[in-house]
Amino acid sequence: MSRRGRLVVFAVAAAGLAGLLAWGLGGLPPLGQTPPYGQMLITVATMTRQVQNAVSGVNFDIRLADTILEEFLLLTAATGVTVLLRRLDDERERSPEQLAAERPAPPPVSDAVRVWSLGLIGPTVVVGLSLIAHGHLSPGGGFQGGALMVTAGLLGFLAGRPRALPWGGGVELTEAMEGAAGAGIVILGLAGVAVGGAFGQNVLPVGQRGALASGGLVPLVGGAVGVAVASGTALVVRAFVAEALAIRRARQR
Amino acid sequence: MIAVQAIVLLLVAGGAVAVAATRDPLCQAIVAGVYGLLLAILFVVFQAPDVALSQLLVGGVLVPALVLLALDKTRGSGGGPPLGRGSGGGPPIEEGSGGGPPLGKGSGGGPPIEEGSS
Repeated sequence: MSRRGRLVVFAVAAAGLAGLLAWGLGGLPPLGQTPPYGQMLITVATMTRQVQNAVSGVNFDIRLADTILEEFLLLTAATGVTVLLRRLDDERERSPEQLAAERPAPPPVSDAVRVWSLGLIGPTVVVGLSLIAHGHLSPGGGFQGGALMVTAGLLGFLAGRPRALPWGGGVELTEAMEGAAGAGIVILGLAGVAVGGAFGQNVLPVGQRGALASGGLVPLVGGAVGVAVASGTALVVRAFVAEALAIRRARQR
Repeated sequence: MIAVQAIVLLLVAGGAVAVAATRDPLCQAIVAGVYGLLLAILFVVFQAPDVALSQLLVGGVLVPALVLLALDKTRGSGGGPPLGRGSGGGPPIEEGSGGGPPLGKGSGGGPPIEEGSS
């Protein structure tokens, strides 16, 4: 297609998009005004489930089925990429060690970066655990806490002591953790079916609002999501980091 | 409060343009990280701390880190310059293949993708 033709197609598409956007934006409620749906969800989450953080109440209880589908969406995407990038018969896979031998040495990490990375690992882990444990009480939850735990691992990588990395060798363990946590979320959802109710029904006593042990299934699902997100992301990051680690190990010898 | 919201909204719009206008993928990863932090501030200003935390971690840390690591992987083993604006020395050319042109900064090689290929 010629440049002129493409411009015409683009102009038509852009005009259509602009019209639809203007139409949609015109129908939005004014800034700062809460639609009734939000108020209703906050009332349900705090009053009937005793969950202080309504966002966690929605994600891990009221629409647990949606959350599980999101987890499977991630799983499907990861499976698709793995299948797409698999090793074909006429290709040979080179280990990180082999690749490392062919690469130039990386620039040295400065002492300031290493000191600060090392010092931040502890606080990061503590905040991550706190986010997971208090997901039903304050902003945060399994996803945020799990992602923060991976950040702690990245800091360990920056600090430059590869052998101390939590995912240095335990790939199988991390994979098992991810699988167990993913299955755990589904099993927690099936608990409602087991007692004769609906999938995702909150079957545990909800307790007193604001207490650590409150909200019934919500903190348990949050913990399972935390483990799943942390181990899944750690596996992805590890796949990228393995080569750099091999280089460092080779230089240290 | 409205003024703060307006300022942060403008900053986010500017940040988005900055990400799109940055050509070098290495710089773009850093700019995208800063843009992620701006988005997190936007969510805090609009009273959505839960989303802000997610955005902080995904947009501010994980995505830039993965982009940097991916750049390192693609540039390091193939033909491109190593991470860190590889100024020193030409890239080692091994086993003839040398892969395609390095990500971004296409230094010759493949045909240009733009302009009328009819």
